[in-house]
Amino acid sequence: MTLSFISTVWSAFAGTCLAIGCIHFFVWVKRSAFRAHLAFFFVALSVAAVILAELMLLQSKNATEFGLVLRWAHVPIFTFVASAVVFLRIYFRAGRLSLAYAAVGLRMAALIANFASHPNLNYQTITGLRHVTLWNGEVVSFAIGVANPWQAIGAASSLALVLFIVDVMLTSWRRGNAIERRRALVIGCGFLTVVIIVAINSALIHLSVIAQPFYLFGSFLFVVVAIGNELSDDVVRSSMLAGKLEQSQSELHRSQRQMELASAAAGVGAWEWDFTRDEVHAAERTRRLYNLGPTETLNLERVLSALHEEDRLMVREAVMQSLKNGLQFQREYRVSNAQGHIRWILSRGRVESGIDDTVPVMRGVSLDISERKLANERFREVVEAAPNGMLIVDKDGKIVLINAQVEADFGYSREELVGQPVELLIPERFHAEHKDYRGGFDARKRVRTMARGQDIVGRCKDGNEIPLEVRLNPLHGTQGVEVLASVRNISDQRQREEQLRQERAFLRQIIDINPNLIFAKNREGQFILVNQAVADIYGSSTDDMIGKTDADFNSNREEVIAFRRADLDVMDSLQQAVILDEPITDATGKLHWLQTVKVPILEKNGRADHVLGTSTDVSERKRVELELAQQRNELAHLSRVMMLSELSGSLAHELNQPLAAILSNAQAALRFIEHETPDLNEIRAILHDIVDDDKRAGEVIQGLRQLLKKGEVQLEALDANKLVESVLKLLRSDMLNAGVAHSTCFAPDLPKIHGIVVQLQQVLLNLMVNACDAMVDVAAPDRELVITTELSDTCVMFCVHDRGPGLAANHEAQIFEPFFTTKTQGLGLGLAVCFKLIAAHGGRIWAANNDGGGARFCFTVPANREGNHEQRCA
Amino acid sequence: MNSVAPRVAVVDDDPSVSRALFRLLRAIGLNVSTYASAQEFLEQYDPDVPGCLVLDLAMPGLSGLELQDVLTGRGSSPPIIFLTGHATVSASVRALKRGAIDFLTKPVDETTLLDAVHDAIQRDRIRREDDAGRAKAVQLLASLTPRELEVLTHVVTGKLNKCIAVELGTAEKTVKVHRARIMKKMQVRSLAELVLLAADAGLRATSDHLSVAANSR
Repeated sequence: MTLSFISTVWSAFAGTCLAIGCIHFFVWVKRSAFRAHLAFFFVALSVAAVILAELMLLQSKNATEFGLVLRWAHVPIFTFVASAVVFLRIYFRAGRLSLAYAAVGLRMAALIANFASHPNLNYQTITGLRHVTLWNGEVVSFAIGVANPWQAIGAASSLALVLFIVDVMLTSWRRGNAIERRRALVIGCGFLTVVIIVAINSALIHLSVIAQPFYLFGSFLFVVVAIGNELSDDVVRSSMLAGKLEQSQSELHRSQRQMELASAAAGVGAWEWDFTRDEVHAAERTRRLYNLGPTETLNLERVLSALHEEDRLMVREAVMQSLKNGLQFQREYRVSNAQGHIRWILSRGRVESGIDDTVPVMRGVSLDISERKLANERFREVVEAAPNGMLIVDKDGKIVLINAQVEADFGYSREELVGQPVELLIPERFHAEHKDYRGGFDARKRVRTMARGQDIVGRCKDGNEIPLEVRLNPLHGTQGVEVLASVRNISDQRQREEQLRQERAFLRQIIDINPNLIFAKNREGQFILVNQAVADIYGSSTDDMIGKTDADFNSNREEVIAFRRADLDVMDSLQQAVILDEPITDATGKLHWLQTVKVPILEKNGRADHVLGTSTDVSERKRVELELAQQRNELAHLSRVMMLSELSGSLAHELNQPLAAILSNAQAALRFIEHETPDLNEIRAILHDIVDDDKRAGEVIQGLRQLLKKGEVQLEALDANKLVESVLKLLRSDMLNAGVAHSTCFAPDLPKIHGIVVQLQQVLLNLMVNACDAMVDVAAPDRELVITTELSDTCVMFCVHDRGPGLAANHEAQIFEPFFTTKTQGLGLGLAVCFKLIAAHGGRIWAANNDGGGARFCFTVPANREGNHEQRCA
Repeated sequence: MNSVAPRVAVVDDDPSVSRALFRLLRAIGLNVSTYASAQEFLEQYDPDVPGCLVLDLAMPGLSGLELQDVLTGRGSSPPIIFLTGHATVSASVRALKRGAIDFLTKPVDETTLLDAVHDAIQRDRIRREDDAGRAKAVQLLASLTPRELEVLTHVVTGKLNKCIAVELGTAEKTVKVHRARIMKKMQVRSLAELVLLAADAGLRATSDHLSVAANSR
């Protein structure tokens, strides 16, 4: 049999389709990403199958065979529709899914109906075959029968497919560039042509316009070729690009590394999300930012899982939003690591074309903003925790932020204040002024205090007004200059100040009401505090005296110098000083006596630069003391005069002795001169004696004068033993008269005593005279007076021992009382005076009986050691 | 007796005073010796040397008054002129009672002192002469028998012989004999002389103890 034309052409068509399909199948095998090629392979395969089925129909022998072949021919028709739809979807990423499902679904329904009908979808019954003889004598068969009404499903499917294709074309046209538009046109029109031709053909058959379907599937070949051509174009171009790509790959790689380096340097991590394949490519730094493994394969979900769970949804939505509308994606979110540490990340990205310009990807960068975020957070926390009210006001005077203290101070809640004009917190009468102030706010200046020197008043929610101290600080933000105001409620402070003022005034009153002098001075001697008593003394006022010194008020230089010295001593030694008798001359020139205590005011460094003093005016006491001393001195004098008058005889003797010698010597000399040859040596000797005796007489008179002198007495340093001797000299003749022998037992090297010579002489005289008197009734050889001196602790002790009858047992204590006497003639004042005098010297006087008979009278006087005038004897 | 020149003794514990007195007294040509204390004077005192004592009242050791007592007690006291720096009435009375020539106070004018010294020396001379007469009377009195002495004591009282005889229980004639023998032994011619001599000898009228005292001498 010769190979028929039909068979040859139809088989060639089918083979071509198959070949083209296979090419693309292999393309797909090589590049699994090219799924469109696989779909196209199925399209080509289906077309080839349909063409073969048509060949079989053309050459069918009878109606049954025809029906069976047609029935099975619907299977490749279905795969054609399905693969066409899939191909278009993949290739153009377009086309409504509903249309796609409709086309495929209806075709499936048609397939089911096909197998449910007999013999097939197209015919209810095939009554027979009509054989037509072609130009070359070949016979082809056409069916004759009744059209199947279910065929409408196929038509509907075709319609849906058409619509889908149109949709794909339109979408691609709108979206794409020239190449894409061309492709959409070629491929779309190819498919459209085939589908429309087939649909029209079936419709015509159905409407019995024509009784025979046109065997037009051969035209499918052209579609396949056209599409295949387009696809091959891709393949060819991609292989061409592959070369370029390889070349640019290293370049790209380098630039990518550079970019990564730059990103790393900028602290930025780059990433890329190929959303078509859901692959995320991230630089090493980015991976570190997100705590991702360096080699881990990443997709969107994996990256999202690295985020803080509260932020995941928000980020996902933002990414999807950006993907959808093509706008830039920007979000700040948290990433927490295994240890729970939170890092704030800022990410920006947008959809860009992929490496080969065909696959779009989302590219972007991530930045660690933890520091900034933390600083922000801290700023907020600091503001919140600030003890003062803090509020931020924007350039329009609206409150942007407040802290808890503002709520507490003004009684508003945060929600009530934020967004409100700041004038809400200011009493109405100040509104205009404040607005002007805000307008004139100079953002260049740093911190300043608002309306320094004036009281600023704020208004609370309840209408109360509170005094405020406000400090302003400009903040330069993205929203222009804002003002950070620190608002301190100073009503408490005002209250405390008032309280303090009152307390001060009260203390001041206490200080001033105090009759004692209270003062404080600094190192320069300036008063830093004085009370009214001080001001009164100096005839000034307490305010005027501050900053001035004693020298400004006191005319007595010596006093000023003494005050200053004492002050400095206290500040330098850090020791309290007590000054028992401090003279001070007041403004009228009157002398006051003060008893002063000065204490150093210690500073933190342990030094003292101020001295605090308080003085009691003891003038009155001093006056009484002086009066007493005067009385005592007068009494002592009186007693001395009395005693001297008693002793006058013996004193006269002492004086007459030299006078007698002088007179006799002089008269003898007169007689010698009368001689013819006067013995001049004799006369010279006489004159020498006269001079000596005259001096002696003078000394006696001097001593007497001293004892009799009245008035001022002076403390001096005295030699105890010499003192005793001077008294013995006075008493010599008296003791001779009384037949009293005396001896002394002096301690050598005694310290000087501090005393009034005449008074101590008086005491010794008194005791000695008493001792002599006590021995009147004693046999002459036993009348002996012994005077001893010795050191007793810090005092010198004098004792006068007699050999008299001693003291009566009950007299020891009484004898120093005034008007007590055992003598028949005596006022009983002598010992009482002695007692007073010794007490005034800081000493002690007592009497006791001696073991061997007789009495002893002893007294002590402080030794003048280290010049301590206040020393007393035990 | 007159062959020995009178000497003035000055006793004063004050060397200055005694030196001045020494000069003054010597200037008028008197023999002067000075003593610093009563003891010193007593040690060197020669009662046979005529003169006087210028004595200080107040001195250590023996005072002037005590020295006076000692000298009086010895019965050979020179005339004493007290010289004191401080004269008390009691001391002056006591001194004068005990026979002091004078009681002078220092400072003493030379006239007063020299008058007193001359007076004292004069007195010493007279006393020494009196002492010589008295010694003779005592000597004469010692020659009398006890009976004659007894009669004498009655005679000097001026009693008549008859009364004496009655008292002594003897005859008037016997009294007369005794009387005549007494007159002879006493070398007197009149009763008045006898009475004076008896008085010089220290015989006092009918005083037993004095007569004893006279006997003891």
